[in-house]
Amino acid sequence: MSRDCRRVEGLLGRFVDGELDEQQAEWVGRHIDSCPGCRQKLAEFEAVDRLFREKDEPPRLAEEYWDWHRSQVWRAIRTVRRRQREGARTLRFTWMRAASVAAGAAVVLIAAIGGWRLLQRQVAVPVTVAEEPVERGAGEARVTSGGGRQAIAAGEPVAESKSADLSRQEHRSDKPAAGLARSADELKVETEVMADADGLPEAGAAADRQSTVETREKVAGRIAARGQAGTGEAEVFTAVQAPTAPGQAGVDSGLKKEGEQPAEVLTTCDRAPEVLEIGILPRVSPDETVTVFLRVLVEPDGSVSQVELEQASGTELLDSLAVLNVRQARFRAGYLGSEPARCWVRLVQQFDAEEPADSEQDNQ
Amino acid sequence: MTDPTDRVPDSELIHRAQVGETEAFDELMKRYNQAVYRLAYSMTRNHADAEDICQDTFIRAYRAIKRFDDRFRFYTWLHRICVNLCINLFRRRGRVRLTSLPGTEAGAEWADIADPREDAGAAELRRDLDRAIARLPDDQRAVFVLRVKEELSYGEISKLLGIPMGTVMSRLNRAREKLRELLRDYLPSRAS
Repeated sequence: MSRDCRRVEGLLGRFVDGELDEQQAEWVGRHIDSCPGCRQKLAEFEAVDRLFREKDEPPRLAEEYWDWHRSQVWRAIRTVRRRQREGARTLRFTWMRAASVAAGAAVVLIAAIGGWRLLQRQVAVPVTVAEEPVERGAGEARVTSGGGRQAIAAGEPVAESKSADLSRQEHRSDKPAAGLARSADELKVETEVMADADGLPEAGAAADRQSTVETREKVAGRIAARGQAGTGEAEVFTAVQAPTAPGQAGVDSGLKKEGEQPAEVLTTCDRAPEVLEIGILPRVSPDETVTVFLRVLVEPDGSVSQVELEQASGTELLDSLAVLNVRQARFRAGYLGSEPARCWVRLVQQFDAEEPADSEQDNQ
Repeated sequence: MTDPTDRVPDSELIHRAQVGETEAFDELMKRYNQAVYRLAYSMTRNHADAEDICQDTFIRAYRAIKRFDDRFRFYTWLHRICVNLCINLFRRRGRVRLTSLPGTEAGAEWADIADPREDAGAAELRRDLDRAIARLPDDQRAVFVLRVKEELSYGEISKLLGIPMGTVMSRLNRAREKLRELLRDYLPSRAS
């Protein structure tokens, strides 16, 4: 390649785009006429542009889609307007809000002072408080009946059985705040109510307990479901994560799965899953961008259940890193209608090349 | 189909939209939503992102329509909003991009039945183009799309993306070199 060819190479893009001044364009044109190599490159550059200009089109969508699309825009605009109106209303009543905040603060202050006084009186009647656990029938609590004060000082919940009902502890921890404004005489009655672990008096506490139970059941269910899940998927996961066999095993397992797609896998999600959070891949080469194409199965809860290698990078380690990165990513599930659904999505993972610091200025 | 000469000019629709006439803005949307979608799709290479960006573009345009300067073309303004949203998306996502699977692309129910690109050869070419351009880093792809598909000048691209002219040129060169390698089968052979 001659010196002129190298110079022309640097100017060829601008020549194609008509961004050279007249003198430079003329010189490049003359060189191209006499150099088959540069002429070929120019033809290729022009062909690339032509291909994208003429053949690269987005999916053609039906008229109904555009009607739906506009309706979505209007819906979003209405939501924004409503929020703005609400915001304006809120602003108009700022002074009222300030007044209510001040009133709230005053109530909290009064309650705190009352509570402090009540606590001091509570210490003065230790037996009343200490005897309550005895009525609950806990064996060790009886022992404390003679020395209730010590029991309080030692922190009674610690003395209770480890299997003590969680909800009772939760309720108890809520109680001081609820009882602060009440008289010491009421305290005994109140502790009796507390002792009835199954009959929590407050709806809020009952709801809390219910939600705790539900959460536990959900977690237990999820763990059970995971245990029952097909071993194939588990193999993929394990293999991909195993640091001793990077890439190879995980990728193989993923490919093996391809022929045995579960029948319920959706291929026509209305809205593709979206990555919410994913690690940034390192730059691995000074002059080459390495790309890995993956297919990812995202479950309705946003978890990744399968990762398949669609197009490898040629380096097993990088494939493996890309798969692992996707495994650890956080997704928003895809949607079928208004429901989250199980969707495949293609994900491009890229290890960028290092850009030389001065390269951006080369053509300036 | 309405005769194009009967078309109400954009400037009139914009003026009506500026005083709160929603039908006027709806008409503007009808005129430009496909162009905006095409740009968003070229930049993001997947339907879901293109759809979101297209919608966001019009939502933002609606909210800012009163500030629109009618010395400019409406599409140029939408174009700028759309490109900025794409760039923001790239920044937010880092080096990650999502592309639709062929079967799920655009949701099968919205696909135009009368799509003439059913031809297998054309479909393959489209897929190869799609893959090749998806392989470009976001910054190079953005410059390439703005130059080749949107036909902006280097100066306009530089202003739009907030990067020096030299950077526009070097990114464009890199993009073309890479695409030339990836699409070798579709380019004129050396013998010819």
